[in-house]
Amino acid sequence: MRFTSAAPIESATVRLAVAYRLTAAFLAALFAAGTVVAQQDDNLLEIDPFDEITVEAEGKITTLRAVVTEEIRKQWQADSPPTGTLRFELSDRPGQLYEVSPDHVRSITFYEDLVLNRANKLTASGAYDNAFRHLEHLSGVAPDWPGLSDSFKDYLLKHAQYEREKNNSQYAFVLLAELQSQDSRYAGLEDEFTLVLDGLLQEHLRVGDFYAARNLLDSLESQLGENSPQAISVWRARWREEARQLANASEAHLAAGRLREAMLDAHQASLIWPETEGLGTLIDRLQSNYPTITVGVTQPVNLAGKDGFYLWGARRGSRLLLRHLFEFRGAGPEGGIYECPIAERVGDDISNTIQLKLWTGEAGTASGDGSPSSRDIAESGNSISSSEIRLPPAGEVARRIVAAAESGNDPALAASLLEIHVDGVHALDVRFGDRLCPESLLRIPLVVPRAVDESVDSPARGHGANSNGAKFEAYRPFLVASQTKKQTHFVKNAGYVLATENMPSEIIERYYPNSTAAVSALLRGEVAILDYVAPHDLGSLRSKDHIVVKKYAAPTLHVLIPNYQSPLLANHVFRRALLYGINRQRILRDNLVAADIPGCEVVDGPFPAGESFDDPLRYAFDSQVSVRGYEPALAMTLARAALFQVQQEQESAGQPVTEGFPALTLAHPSDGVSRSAAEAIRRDLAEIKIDLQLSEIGPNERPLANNQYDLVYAPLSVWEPISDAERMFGAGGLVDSGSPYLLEALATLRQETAWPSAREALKRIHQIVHREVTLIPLWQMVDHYAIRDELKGMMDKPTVLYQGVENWRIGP
Amino acid sequence: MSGVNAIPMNRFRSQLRTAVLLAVGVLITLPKTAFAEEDSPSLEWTQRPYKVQLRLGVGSPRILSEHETDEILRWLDDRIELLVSASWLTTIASAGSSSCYGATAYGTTEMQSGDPPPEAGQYDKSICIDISLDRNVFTITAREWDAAARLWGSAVRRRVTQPQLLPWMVEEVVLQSFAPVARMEILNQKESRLRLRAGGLPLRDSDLQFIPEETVFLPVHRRTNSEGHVQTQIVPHTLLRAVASDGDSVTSEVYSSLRSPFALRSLGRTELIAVAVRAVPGTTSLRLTSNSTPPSALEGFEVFAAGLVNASLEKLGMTDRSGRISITAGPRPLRLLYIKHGARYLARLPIIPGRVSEIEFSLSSDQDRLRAEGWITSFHEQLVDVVARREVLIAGIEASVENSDKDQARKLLDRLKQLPGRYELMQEMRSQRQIFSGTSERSDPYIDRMLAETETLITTQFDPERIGRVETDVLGLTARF
Repeated sequence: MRFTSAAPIESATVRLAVAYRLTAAFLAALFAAGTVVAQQDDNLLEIDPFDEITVEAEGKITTLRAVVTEEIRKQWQADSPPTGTLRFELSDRPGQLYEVSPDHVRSITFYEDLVLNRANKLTASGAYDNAFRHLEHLSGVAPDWPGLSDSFKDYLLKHAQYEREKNNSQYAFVLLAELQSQDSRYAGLEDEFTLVLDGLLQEHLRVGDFYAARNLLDSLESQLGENSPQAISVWRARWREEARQLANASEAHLAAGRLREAMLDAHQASLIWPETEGLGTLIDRLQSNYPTITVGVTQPVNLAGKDGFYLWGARRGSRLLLRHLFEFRGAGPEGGIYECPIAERVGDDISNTIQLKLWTGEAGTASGDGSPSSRDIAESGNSISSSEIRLPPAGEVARRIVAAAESGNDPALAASLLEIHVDGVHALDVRFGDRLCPESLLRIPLVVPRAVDESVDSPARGHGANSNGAKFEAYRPFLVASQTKKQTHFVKNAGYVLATENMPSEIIERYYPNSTAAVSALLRGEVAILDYVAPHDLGSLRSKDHIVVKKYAAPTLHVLIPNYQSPLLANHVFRRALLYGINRQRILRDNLVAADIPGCEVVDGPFPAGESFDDPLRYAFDSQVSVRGYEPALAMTLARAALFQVQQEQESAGQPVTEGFPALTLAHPSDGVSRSAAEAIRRDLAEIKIDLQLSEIGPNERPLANNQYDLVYAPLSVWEPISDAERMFGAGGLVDSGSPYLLEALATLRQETAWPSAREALKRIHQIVHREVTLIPLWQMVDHYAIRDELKGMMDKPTVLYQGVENWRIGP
Repeated sequence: MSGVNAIPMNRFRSQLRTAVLLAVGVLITLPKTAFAEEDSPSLEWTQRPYKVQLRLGVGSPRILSEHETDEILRWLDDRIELLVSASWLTTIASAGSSSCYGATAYGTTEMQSGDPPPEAGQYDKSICIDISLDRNVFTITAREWDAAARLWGSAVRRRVTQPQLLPWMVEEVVLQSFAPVARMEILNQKESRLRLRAGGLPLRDSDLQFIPEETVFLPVHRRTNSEGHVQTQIVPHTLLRAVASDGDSVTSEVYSSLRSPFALRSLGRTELIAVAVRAVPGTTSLRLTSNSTPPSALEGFEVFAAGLVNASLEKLGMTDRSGRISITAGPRPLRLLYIKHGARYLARLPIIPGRVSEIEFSLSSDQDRLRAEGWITSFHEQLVDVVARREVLIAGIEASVENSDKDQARKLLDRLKQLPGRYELMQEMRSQRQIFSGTSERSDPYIDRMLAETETLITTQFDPERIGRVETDVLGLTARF
C-alpha cells in the first residue's frame, strides 16, 4: 500500500514498496493530526461530512476520516468490490488525493451511516432531542437512506414512552401520532397509544371534565382518520355504558322518591355522555321535581364569606349562603337603595333611627329583589306553612346587630350605633349617631358566617341545622353539600323561610379556568348561567339567539392592595412608582376590554366613577383628580429613590438593609381576565426592573390574611362609599395604611350629617388616597353575566348573581 | 385570737442576735424605741427613720393558726431588725382572721391616691399584708400606705404552696412593697435632687437596696394650709428617674409632658416630695383624648418610645378608634413616649407600664394644622415627581444633543418646558397659604415654617437658568444642522 500525494505513479512495485514504508510514518502523522478516528463526542452535524475508511497495514488497523469519491461510494454500496485503487481525500487535507489498495481496506462507513448510528445510540441513551436532530438532518440529506425510517420510528416510540412516564402525555401523543402516520402497525404502537390516551384523558377526568375528554377523542379521531387507535372506541364505549348505568340508576332513584340522588346521577350521566338515550326526558322530569341549575363560574366560590368586599367568589357565594339584614339593591339619588328581607322599615326614611317592623304574616309586599319576604311566605300557602316559619324575634335581631358592632369587623357600625330599642316581639328601633345612610351599616349577615372548614354540610348534620344552631339558620338559603376543585353543590336549606315554591332545589357551580371554556359550556348547555362574561366574549355571546347577556347593577373597582408590612410597599413613593410603571390604559384596552364599554375605564381613586357623569354611584368621585399616566422612566426613578429612602431608614434603625428590589408577590383571582391583567402588570413592571411573581388565589383562600403577599389584585365592590370608605381605610379595614391624614378625613366624614358636606369629605378622601397611593388603583369594570333563555326569573340588574335566586327556574 | 395582738418591740433578743448587734456598733444597737422618742421635726430629714406599721391578715375563716401567725410575725420582726434596723421603727401586728384592710380591699392594686387605712395612725408607712389560700396555693399580698404622699402603693404578690415558706415570702413582699420617700430639690429643668428620708441611716444588711438602679419616683405636691390640713397632689404626667446615688441623696432626671411641671399656685406651705414606684412591669392602656368639651377620642396618633440613653425612637403603634394604645413594659421601668400626629411630634409622656391599667392624656385639636400639613406633604410629592420628570427629560435631551438628534432633542425640550416651573409652583404655594390663613384665626408657626422651607426648596431646585442652558444646547444643535 502506498500513500502518496497525487504524484505520478511510476511502477506498481515501486509504489508498493514505498507504500509500505511510508504507511507507518504517515499513519503516525495522521494520528498526530487527530484525523484518524472519529471521536465519540464529535458533533457530526457541526463539522464537514466525512466517511470512515478502516485500513489494515502491517498488522495495524487504522480508521481514517476521508471523503471517498462518488465512484467508490457507488461500488461499495452496490456490494461489488472495487477493482482498482481506491482514491480519496483525507477530510483535513482537502485537495490532496490519496490512494490505497482495496486489499487493505477492511471497511468503509459512509457519513450517512455515521449519523444514523449516532442517532440510534442517542435514542438508546435517552438523549431524544439530540437524536431527533441527527435523524432530521439525515432526512434532509438522504431521506431514503437504508435504516433511517426504522430508526425514526424507534425514536418516536421510545421518546413517547419517555414522555408518558414523565406525565407529559400531550407531547407523547404528538409523537405517537407522527409514528401512526408513518407506520400504523408498528410494533408496540397500539399499546403505547392506549397508555398515552389513558394519561391524557385522566387529566380531564380527574377534574370531571368529560366534555374536554370527549373533545379530545373527537379531535384525535379527525386527526388520525382511519388510523385512529382502538383505544378511542374503547373509551367511548366505556362512557356510553357508564352514562347508561347512571341514567338507569337515576330512574330508580326517581321512582323511589330519592330526588337528589336521581338528579346527581342524571347530571353526571349528562356530563359523561349527553346523548344517552332517554336522558333528556329524564332530566326534564327531574327539573319539575327537583329543580337544579348549573352555573358556570371562572372564579370558584370562596366560602370565606366575609371577604366578599374584595373577592368575587366570596361576594357571589355570600348571597347564596346567607341573607343580610339590609341588602343593597342599587344606587339611589342619595346613597344606595336598601331592602330588608325580614322587616318593613317604618317611620321617617331620613331619620337616624331605623324603625323596623318584623314581618308577621299579616300585611306587606314582596321584597324588591323578587325574593319573597317572610310575610309573603306566610300568606302564599307555600310548602312552608306560616306556623313553620321560624322568624327571629326582635330581641334576637337586636342581639345580632350588637354582635356585629362588637365583632371588630365593621368599624363604621361600631362607631355609629348608639342604641337599640326593642318594642315587643316584632319591632325594634336602631338609633345611630348623626349618620347619613345608616342602612348601609346594617348590611350585616343574619346568619353567623361559618368558618371555611365547617362550611360543607355533612349529610349527618341535615339541612338547616348546624353547629350554630341559631334561629337565624332560617335565613340561610342554601347549604354547601360538597365542594371539589371542579364544582360546588349547594342544596336548598329546607328550613329557609324566604324560599318560594319553585326555588331551585340545588345549585351546582362548575368552575372553568378561563372565559373561553366557560362560554363554550354555556353554549352547549352544560351550564345555564355564566356568572361573569369576559369583555372580549360579550360580542360573540350577544349574537347568539338563545343567550341573554345582562349587566350587573354596579361596577367593580379593580385595585392592587399593598401589604404595608413590606418596607418597600409601605413607602408611598414606591407605590407611586408602581402606579406610574403600569400601563393601565393599554392593559385595559388590549387585555381586558376589546370594545368600548361605557364605564370600563382607568380610574385613580378608591370610589366608583359610575358609567356616566350623572351616575348616582359617582357621588364620592372627585372628577378634579387627574389620572396618572404611564411614565416608565419616572417610575424607575421614583422606585430607586424610594429604595434609597427605605435603605436609609433601615440603616438608621439598625435593621437589615434591603439590597436591591426584592421580587414582589402578586396574588390574583384565578379567572382568565385577572390572570391576563396580572401577567400584563408583571410585564410592565419587569420593564422598570421590578420582578413580580404571580400566584393564583386558591379556593377559599383569604389572600389578605397573614400578609403573605406583597400585592393582591382585588375587584372591589365599593357600592356605598359613605360607609365603604371606613371599611376600606379605617382602622382594621381592608387597607390599614395608618395615614393620619386619611384617618382624620374619615373622622370628618363620620361627623357629616348632610349630603353636600359628606360628598366634600369623600372627595377629600379620594384626593388623599390618590396622593398617598393608599392602594394602587387600576380600572373600573362594568361586569356582565349571561344566561340561556330557558332560565327564567333572573333579576334584570342584580348586584350579585344570586340576588333573587328564590325565583329562578328552568322552563319555557 | 381576736382583735389586734401587738408585739412589743423592745422585748428580749436572743443572745446570738445581740452579739451580732454589738459587733455592728453602738449606734445601731441602740433600741429602736430610742429613735421613736427622738423622732421630732428638729431631726434632720435624712436621719429620721420611718415609723412603719406592719399588719398581717390571715383570711376569714383564718387559714393559719395563732401559733403559725405568731411564728411569721416573730420571723418578720427578727428579720427586719437584722436587715433594716435603724431605718425603720417598726410595729408589727396581726389583723386577726380578717383580711388586712387595703391590701386587696380597694378593688384595684394600682398605685393611687386614697384614704388611709383606719389604723394608719401617726405611722409614716402602713404596710398591709394579707395571706389567702386557694386550691392549696397561698397568696401573699402586701401594699403600703404612705402618709406623706397620701398614696397607696402598688400591691406586691407572691404565691407559694409550702406553708413552711410563708415567713420568707412575707418578708420578701414587705421589703418589696416599701417605697422610700424623698424631699425634692429642683436643680434645673431636667434634674432634681432627692433627699431620702432615713437615707443617712445605714441599713444593717449591705445587700439590701431600697433604691436599686433605674428606680422611678413619682413627684407629689404636698401642701399644708394655715389650719394644718395636708393636701397632696400627684404632679401630672411627670416622673423622676434615679441616675446617681450620693449617700443620703439621689440625683434624678425629670421627665414630664409639661413645660413647668412643678409650678403650683397655692396658699400655705407647699413642698415637693417623691415616692419610689414599686410597680411590677406590665401593660398600661394609654388613651388620648381631645381637650375639647366633650372630649373625643383621638384616633390615628402614632406613639413612639424613646431610648433613655440614646436618642433612638421605636414606633409602638397608633391609637385606635377609642384613642387607645397598649404600652407594654420596655427594657427599663420608665418609658418615655412621644406622640406624633402627621409629621409633627405633639407631646412627650413618661409612663411606667403596669403602674396603672389606663392613663388618659389630653391634647388640643390640631385638625387645621394636619390638613395644612397634608397639603404641603402632597405638594412635596408633586415636587418630587416634577423634579424626577425634569431630570429624566434633561438626561434625554443631553443624550439627543450628543447624538445630534435634533428632532428628539426639540421634542423633549418642549415637554421639559411644559413642566411647572418656579413661578407656577410659587403661585400655587401662595394661593394655598391664603387658604390656610383663612381657616385659622392665628397662623401656625409650624405650618409657616413648612411653607417657608418649601419656598426655599422651590427656589433652589427650580432654577430657570438650568432649563435655559439646556435650551441653549438644543438651539445650538439646531443651528448646526
